[in-house]
Amino acid sequence: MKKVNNDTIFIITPSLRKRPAEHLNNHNCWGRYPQSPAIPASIRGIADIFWQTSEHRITNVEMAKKFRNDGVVGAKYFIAFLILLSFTTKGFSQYTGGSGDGFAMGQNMPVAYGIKQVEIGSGVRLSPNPVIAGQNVNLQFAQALNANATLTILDITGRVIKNETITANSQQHPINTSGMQPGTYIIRVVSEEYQTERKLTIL
Amino acid sequence: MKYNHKGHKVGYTKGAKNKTLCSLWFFLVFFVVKKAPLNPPEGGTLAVAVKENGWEQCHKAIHTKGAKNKTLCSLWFFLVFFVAKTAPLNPPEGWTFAVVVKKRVCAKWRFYISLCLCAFGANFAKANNVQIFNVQVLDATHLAFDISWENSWSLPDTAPPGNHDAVWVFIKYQNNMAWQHLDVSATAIDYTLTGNTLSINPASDGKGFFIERADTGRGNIGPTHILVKYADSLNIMANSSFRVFGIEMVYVPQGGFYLGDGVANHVFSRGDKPAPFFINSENSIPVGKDSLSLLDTGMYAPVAAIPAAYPKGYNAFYSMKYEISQWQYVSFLNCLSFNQQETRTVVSPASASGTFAFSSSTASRNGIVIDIPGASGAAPAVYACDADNKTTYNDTGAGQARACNFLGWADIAAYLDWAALRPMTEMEFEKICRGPVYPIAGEFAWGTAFATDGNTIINDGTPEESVSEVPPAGYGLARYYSKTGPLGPMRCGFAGGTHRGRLPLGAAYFGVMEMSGNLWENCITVDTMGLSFTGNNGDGVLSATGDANVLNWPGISGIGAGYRGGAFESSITGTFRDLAVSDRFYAGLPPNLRRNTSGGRGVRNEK
Repeated sequence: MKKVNNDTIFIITPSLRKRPAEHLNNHNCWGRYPQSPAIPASIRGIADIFWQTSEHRITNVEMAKKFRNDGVVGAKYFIAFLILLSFTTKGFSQYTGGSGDGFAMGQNMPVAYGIKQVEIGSGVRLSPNPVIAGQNVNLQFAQALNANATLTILDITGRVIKNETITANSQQHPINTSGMQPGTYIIRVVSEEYQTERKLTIL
Repeated sequence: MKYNHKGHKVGYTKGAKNKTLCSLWFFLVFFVVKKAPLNPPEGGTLAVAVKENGWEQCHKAIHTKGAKNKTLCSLWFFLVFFVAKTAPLNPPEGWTFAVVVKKRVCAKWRFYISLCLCAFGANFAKANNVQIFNVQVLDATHLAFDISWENSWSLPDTAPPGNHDAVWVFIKYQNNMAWQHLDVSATAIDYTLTGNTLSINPASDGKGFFIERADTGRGNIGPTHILVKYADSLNIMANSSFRVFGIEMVYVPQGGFYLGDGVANHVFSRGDKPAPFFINSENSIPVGKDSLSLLDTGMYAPVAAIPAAYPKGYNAFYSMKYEISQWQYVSFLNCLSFNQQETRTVVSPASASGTFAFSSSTASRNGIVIDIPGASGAAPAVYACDADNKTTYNDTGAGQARACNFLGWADIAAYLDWAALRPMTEMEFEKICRGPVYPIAGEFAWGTAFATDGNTIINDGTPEESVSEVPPAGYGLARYYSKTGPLGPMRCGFAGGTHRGRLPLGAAYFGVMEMSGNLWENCITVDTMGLSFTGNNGDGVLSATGDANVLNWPGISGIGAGYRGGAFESSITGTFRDLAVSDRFYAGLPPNLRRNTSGGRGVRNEK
């Protein structure tokens, strides 16, 4: 082994692969490269590579042992590779971006009536609300209904209290609260075009 | 290098930051590069290259003596070398790659030296891409949904940064047209997940829960079914609407860190000299002129001791990985009443369809518009994204993923309260950016003092919006002012579509993105008003007018908060270093205005 500036460089040759121990005796192997390149200054202190010449004091046996030991080390590396394959390393998943914006929203699909429905958010009012028990409540639409609609009154547990029909072209519909106990109810209107719900409070 | 008895190179590279991993990298790539087209020519070529501190300090040596075709071997090496410099082959710092030597007369590989492809770290998936779907209301106490996301990680404590990602999930439901926050169980056993990759970490206040990896690992999270139990039974119609929201978060572990970089103006500093101040607990911090105090003079310097209750960043917390995006803010607006929307936007919610909610045009790259006008006292508006100014909304190029600008302090606070998060403090800002590493003078969020402006946009307005700039070694990528480029924010995580690694992404230490540049971060400052902040999380409920109403948060005036981190209009010249981690030039300026450069993100206490 030749020490050059405290680094050792080793050049692999095919013959070394076959007979490493013998090769260590065969300095002619290295003699095949009498004009071996100078050790790049940039690599010094960076890589440990071994260069053998006749000047090195390590014997063949010692080198063979070293290689055998390194073979064990190599096996350990391989096993460690298999084990650590499932582990993360520094620097990557946390420094990987991608598409999107880091935000997501999912919404459930409310129970449908087998028809396309659009929530009419504006222009639907219950008045008066709250209402005194026994008095009528007026359901008003900003736009007249294009088709017949079903009005369903449910109590807070979801039990249906009554069903009524709202005829097409209606812009308002009276709801009779006679017989309804004080409490909170759900007024649901469903047609071919839309569905809406309002909470009604009876005093 | 080390060699076994067969002369096979099996070893590490001196100087590598992690020798074991370098070796393991060799082995993996060896098996990969045996396949064409990476199969090198016959010959005794040996070449070693080590990447240290960027490719500019890469050391390489090549020897082709004995090669059957020396020219071809040399050319092959240099071709692969230059290819490997580009993502996704760009190996991590300190890693070694070496050209495989191929036996002259035999096609079989002789050595375990091989061209390394960053196999461990190369997560080539392009999207973090959290998805929530298949939301189902099961009964009065349960709902279920599926979730997936990519590039998830959980590192052991011994592997810096030793943290993990997560998704913060919270739920809103519609009751008689009004959206309300759903309180969920604070007990982990009330949740059910498929598989064993993930675990649920419920918030103790029941306002939501974190979904995160159950163990160390990395990679994509495939669709996972989650069963959620409510805190209380709900007496609403089974067909009421429920919305499940997920925000990608980054866990910032407990630990000490430094404030200030000891050199720049307008920074935190030790009291006795211009030097970083070490935070090693959440205890009260005195201010003064001694080594154990924070300096009490200078612009926006603290004038009173930092109370123990003021979050200093020592304790663990979760941070949003990205700034609030425009679609994220639209989703928030679409859960508000008309009156609340009126407060949280610039124009009336009753304005005509297509009216931009914040800006009169898309010049500053904000595309939030009114889709369906609302009616005062009757129904709220429906908002959408239309950054490409087309007749269709929320299409691919509508800018949904861009960071949301024109957010003043009150808007940020309202969003964070609604999402059950909270603002970060200035100290937490520096912890997120720098981690436990000793400061570098003038450094940016990625840990160096050099920046490359990413201003050549590709895939504009899409979820893949990115830039074509590739920062040189030692430079981080950010969106800031360099006299060219768009005058508006980029997509959240814009650098991630085409780059890998902390510097090319401009990523902070723990993996949080765009902490330097893009939009200003709104942070609680250390002046008198700011010191009242005690780190309470939001509770999901706003005032009737749509303002945050959390105890000890700065009010809608923004006094007690300020700006950190710089934005797309911040220059880096001379003493102007708004993007620097330590820079506090605007730290105490109340961020009450809806600036085109102002946005933000939130954090949440661990429990």
